[in-house]
Amino acid sequence: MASANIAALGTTRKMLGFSRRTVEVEFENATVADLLRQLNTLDGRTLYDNVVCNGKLRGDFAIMVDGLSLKADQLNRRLHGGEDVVTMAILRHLHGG
Amino acid sequence: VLLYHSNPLWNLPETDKVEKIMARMKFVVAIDIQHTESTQWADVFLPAHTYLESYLLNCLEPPAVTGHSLRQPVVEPVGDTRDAYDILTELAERMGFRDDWNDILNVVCGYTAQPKYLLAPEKRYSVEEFWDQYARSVYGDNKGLDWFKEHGHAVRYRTPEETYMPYGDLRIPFYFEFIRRAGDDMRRKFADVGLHDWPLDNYQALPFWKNSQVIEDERAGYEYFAITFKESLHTFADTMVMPWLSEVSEKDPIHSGVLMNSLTARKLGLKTGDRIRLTSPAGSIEGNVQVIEGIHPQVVGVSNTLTRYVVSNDRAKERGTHFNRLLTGSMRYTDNATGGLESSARVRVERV
Repeated sequence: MASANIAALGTTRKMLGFSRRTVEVEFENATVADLLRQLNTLDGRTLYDNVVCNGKLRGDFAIMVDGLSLKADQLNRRLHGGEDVVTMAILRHLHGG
Repeated sequence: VLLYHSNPLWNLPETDKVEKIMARMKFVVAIDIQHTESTQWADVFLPAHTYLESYLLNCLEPPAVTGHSLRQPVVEPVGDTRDAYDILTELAERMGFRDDWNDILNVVCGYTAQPKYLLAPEKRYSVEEFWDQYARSVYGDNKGLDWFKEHGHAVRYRTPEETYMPYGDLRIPFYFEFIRRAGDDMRRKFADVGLHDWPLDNYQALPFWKNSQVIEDERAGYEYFAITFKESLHTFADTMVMPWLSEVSEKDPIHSGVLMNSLTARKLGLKTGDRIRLTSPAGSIEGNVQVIEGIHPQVVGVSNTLTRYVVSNDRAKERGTHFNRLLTGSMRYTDNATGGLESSARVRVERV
């Protein structure tokens, strides 16, 4: 059984009710989608239900695994254990100089 | 509205419109190191530390070097002022969203790629703790704020590979198909919501020429191009509070009036010191003619460096040339693919 280090920011932190937690992934060859289904949110659903639409990550949320941001259709990425997974709502900001 | 070291009444085009917008604001808070045209609208003014009183881990920009240098306070803060980071953190805490504020900093500082450095939502970080965390995230745990206090900087020359192959083995695209795709996507989405007046013709994959609106404005009788420029001695407007720098830059006559070529001045019957009005499709400004040779006869130049209507430093007050009043903020003067605003204006010149 593998583990993943979850860091939840902003909206996803409020959905989950925690900011940092290490979780055991419940079965072999688990994917990011499996991990999201395993994370219960305070509204009685799961993080998957909240941030995924038609099998793809919603455009207003971001998930990073070991520093790399997943594209909407990359939720089937396999977890091998020990990954740092950051979940957050997209912060839209403009900057320049 | 929260103004943070920002002066929209000076920096945005169509100042009259900006004034009307500010007048409609119910509550204005300004964080700055000096009074400006915009802070005059503030219900609450929160004075921040200047660069002489505060820390900043400053990123040195390419191409020659890379790294950070630490700006350290060299004098005790004057008056009842605070570090701008502290002001924002205190505001977030009092308004009940310090946890979200820390998360915003987590994203802006790039800690999402290095979760071990994520700021905890429940903790309030001091200015020094904040910069210490940032330094460690960039340079490792043995180079925190104390290391920078001792060594000053971690700046080095970029290697030839970093300078000339900044993207490694990645290809640099010549045909920007994603810009064209973005345009097509926006066209579909705009059609879905019935938005038809947003121009999308600039979304092309290859560079192309298109006349700026200022070229077309000649037909409406605007004969000259008005341009603006800054002063190399100053960093934006913040350093206008430094009397030594201002004293040096004020001695340069290019900042003391509307620059005009001697041929143009002769044609218009003008000489240095004559009062003139520049009128563009957006508005008009007045200033004194400064006759020089180093400007094209069809161009007038307006320094936007030393002129201010409102500023703590009396030496920098009004000289009558607020260039941005000549600029138009409409889409006709805006690149609809990048949002870049046309920064020159077509003007008529007349004696006042």
